[in-house]
Amino acid sequence: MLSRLFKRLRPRNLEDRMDQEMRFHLDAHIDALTEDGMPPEEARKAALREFGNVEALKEDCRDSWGMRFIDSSIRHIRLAGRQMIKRKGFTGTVILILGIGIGANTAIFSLANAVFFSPFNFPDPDQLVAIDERTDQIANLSVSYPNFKDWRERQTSFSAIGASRGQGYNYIGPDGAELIEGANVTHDYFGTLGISPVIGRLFTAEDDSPGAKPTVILGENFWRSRFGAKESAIGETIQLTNQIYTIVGVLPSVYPIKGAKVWIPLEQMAEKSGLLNRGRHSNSTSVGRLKPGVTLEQARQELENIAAQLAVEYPATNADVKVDVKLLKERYLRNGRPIVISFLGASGFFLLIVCTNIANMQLASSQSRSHEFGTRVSLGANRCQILGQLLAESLVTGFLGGAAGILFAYGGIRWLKNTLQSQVPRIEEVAIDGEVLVYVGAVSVVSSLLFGLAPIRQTLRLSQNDTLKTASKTTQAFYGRKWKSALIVSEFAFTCVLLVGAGLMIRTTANLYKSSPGFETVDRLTCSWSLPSSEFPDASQRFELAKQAQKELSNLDGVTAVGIAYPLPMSGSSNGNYYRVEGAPPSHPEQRRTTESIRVSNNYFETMGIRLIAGRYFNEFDTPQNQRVAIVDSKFAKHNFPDENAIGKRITTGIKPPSDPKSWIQIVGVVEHVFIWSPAIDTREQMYRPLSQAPSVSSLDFILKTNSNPAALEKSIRKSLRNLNPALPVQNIRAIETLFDQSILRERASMQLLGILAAIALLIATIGLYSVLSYTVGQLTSEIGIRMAVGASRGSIRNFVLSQGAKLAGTGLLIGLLASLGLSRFLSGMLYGVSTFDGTAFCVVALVLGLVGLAACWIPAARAARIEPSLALRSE
Amino acid sequence: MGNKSNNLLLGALEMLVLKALLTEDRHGWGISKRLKQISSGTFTLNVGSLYPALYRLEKKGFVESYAAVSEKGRDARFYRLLPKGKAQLEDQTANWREFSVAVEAVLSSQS
Repeated sequence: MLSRLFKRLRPRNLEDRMDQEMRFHLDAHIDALTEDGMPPEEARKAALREFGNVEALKEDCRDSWGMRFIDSSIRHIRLAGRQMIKRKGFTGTVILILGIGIGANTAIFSLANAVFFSPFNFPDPDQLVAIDERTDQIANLSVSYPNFKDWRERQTSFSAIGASRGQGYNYIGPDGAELIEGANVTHDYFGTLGISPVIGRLFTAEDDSPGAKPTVILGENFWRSRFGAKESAIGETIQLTNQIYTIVGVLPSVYPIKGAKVWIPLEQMAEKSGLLNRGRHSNSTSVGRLKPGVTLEQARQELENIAAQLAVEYPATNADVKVDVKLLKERYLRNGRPIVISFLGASGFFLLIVCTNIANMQLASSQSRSHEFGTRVSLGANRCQILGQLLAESLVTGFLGGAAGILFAYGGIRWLKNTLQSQVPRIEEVAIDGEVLVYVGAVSVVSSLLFGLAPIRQTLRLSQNDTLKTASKTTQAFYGRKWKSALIVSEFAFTCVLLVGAGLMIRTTANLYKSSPGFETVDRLTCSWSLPSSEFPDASQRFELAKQAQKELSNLDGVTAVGIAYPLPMSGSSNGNYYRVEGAPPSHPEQRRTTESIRVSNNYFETMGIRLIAGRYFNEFDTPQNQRVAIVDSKFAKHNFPDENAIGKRITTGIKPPSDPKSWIQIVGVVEHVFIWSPAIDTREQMYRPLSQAPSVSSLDFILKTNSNPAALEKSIRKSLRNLNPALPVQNIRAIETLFDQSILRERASMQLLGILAAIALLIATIGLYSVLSYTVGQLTSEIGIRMAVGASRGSIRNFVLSQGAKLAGTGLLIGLLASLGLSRFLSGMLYGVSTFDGTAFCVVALVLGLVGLAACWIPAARAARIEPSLALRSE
Repeated sequence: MGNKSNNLLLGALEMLVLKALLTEDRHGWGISKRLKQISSGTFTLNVGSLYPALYRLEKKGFVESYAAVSEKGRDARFYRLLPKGKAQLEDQTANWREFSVAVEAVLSSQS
């Protein structure tokens, strides 16, 4: 019984049996014929003749046996393989093109997969909620610690909420002073996220209370590199910025906390860092975990109510402060989203173009193979068998293309990582993993169906007719090729969309480079130096040190000037202040404005190349003893003093007028507005104060104007600052030009990706149009011959072919332009100085596509015009 | 229509094969010889139809096959009619008779 079942399942048994049975039949037949007196050789021939095609017979037997599906699939694949090897060039081209398409798609999918679908590996990530604050002017305000504590006490929607605040620490390691990234967290922060320690424990409520014994948790990487991953590190101590901490635990390096090397309880630092001031929103973020069954909306409602209560209880600080509640992943996706969406769209279109093109190639080849299929049909193959074979060919091609795609994807991912770096969270984790491989498989199957469909349909139609008759060839040439035409049209349309996207991004990037950042970018270098207040409690002492450093740096070879600022544009920091203009009525809380507040040395503006519009720069008379002064930017002046001269006007920081009238700050100069993040991001008005009058900064950015290669200066900068004080870390020595490039990295990366994809697409579409027209002209040779024989001129023949091509390209172009109008709005978030309906971009694309399309038609058209009627007619 | 007549012919072929196995077990060659013989040479069964039909019948459980040595001492595969096949044969024979009578009636009518 079992062996019988086995026999049924194993095709090999069936094959043996068939071989044996047929051999027997043949032998018996020969025997019979020789017995009738036929010579053995003739008998053999006769018997074989009657047998006919043994393979076809076996095929039928297999069908009868029901092995059909498995067996025929294997056979189809084998046959497909054989056919594909026979047409090496064709197969290779198809696999290459498909590989590029799938590769681009896969690389971008793995990016999107890491960024969108699994931004972090915490348990139940969809219960994690980011809680931030905002006002009507400032969309993203960090959380005030006292407010956070009130939320924690009053809320009922969350099982836990925690807060974290980034804080750098000075760590004296084997390589000298080092500023390491760290964070201050509330004790339940990690519990809220759902992170467990690698060794040791998390913070307890006791650790996180004022006056508690200083404790620290280390990041896994830091623990491995500095403590050799020894478990005995727990209980050891570590000195961070003049304080000894006991190590209580080690946390795994998981996004988004992996940047930090050390964590210290927030409450321990709260007083020292001035966090107990309710009005201070300094860099804290908070996160909550929803209780089961509580929706985001309910939680938002509750927190909004609490914020409203706080506004009533603390009107001075909280009047206009609202909460901003969203899923935690939204916080991390904000940056990466537009770029990933545009990349996904572009690579999707690209794959469509690739599939369309391959469909076209397959179509052409299936037409030239129609004879092969016709022969098989007339020899008894049924339609299913031929379709099966075509499908198998498509699938095999698809999978080989997928395999090639994985190779291309490796390159693509490397490019994405290099290009996008800081723009996309977790980018370093992007890799080809199991999920991505499943995706590649799915894309391969879908695309092979896409490009396999057209030839299959055509073959269906062909096999219905008698394809052995070739007479229909000429009449079919243009009119019977709806599919091919439709494919060429869509190829051009898709290409057009990509080109428009690329064009818009090229215009954007060009605009960004052209845009005036408000300062000079060439021959300038920046570096930052941290001056922890714990080490230098006296602000004037810090200012003295800064001035000394400034002098040291100016003495370096190749440095012509050194300015100081905090924070410097593009440094990633920004510092906001409420302000009030003298004489202005007290503003409604909703209408209070903030200004970017920057502390600078007297020569900052000249060093940075920021143009003075009115008044004067700071000078040596702007001392703490003299009148407090400020310089504002043109945006500030225009907003507050639209019809007056801003010079001489007095302002104050904060919302109340100063109690001492001498504390008013007088505006002495107006300078050009500069950008803070990137030229593409609009920034608020700016106010500069002289460091001499407002020296309380904990970190300084130097700006060095150089006349030699800025990169070569790095060593001497480090050396001279280390000589001054070896315990203070020097960081981020970078050329302003580099910073500028990075600030528009998102736009540049999209431009490059769209540009590359659009260029390849243009090439593919052009070759597609060219080959279709060439093929058609080849098919039409005799018809053209006849036309010429009856008097058509060469010019009219050429124009006829040209017009056929132009019609296809033109239709595609038109559809593409219309589609672009609809689709370009997905790019709108990334455009700068260009509207989504940018006339220039659209016109240039239309022109380029039109010309390239015409060029693709020209060669086949010229060839058609050269046809010799006599030869053409004879060839038929 | 084309399909139906095909089925009818296919059915007829299977019926003939079953009939050939009614008297004794035979191998493929034997069946084709037998059919040729009893139809006085009218049916020369094509191998291309015979074997697929045999495999189909075996699959349906109408016949079973076994390896044995032929009368000439060669390894051969013999087919034996199973009770289910016998019942099928009787069924089909009755159908066929009915059908052929009907066809005859139509053809011989004076219209």
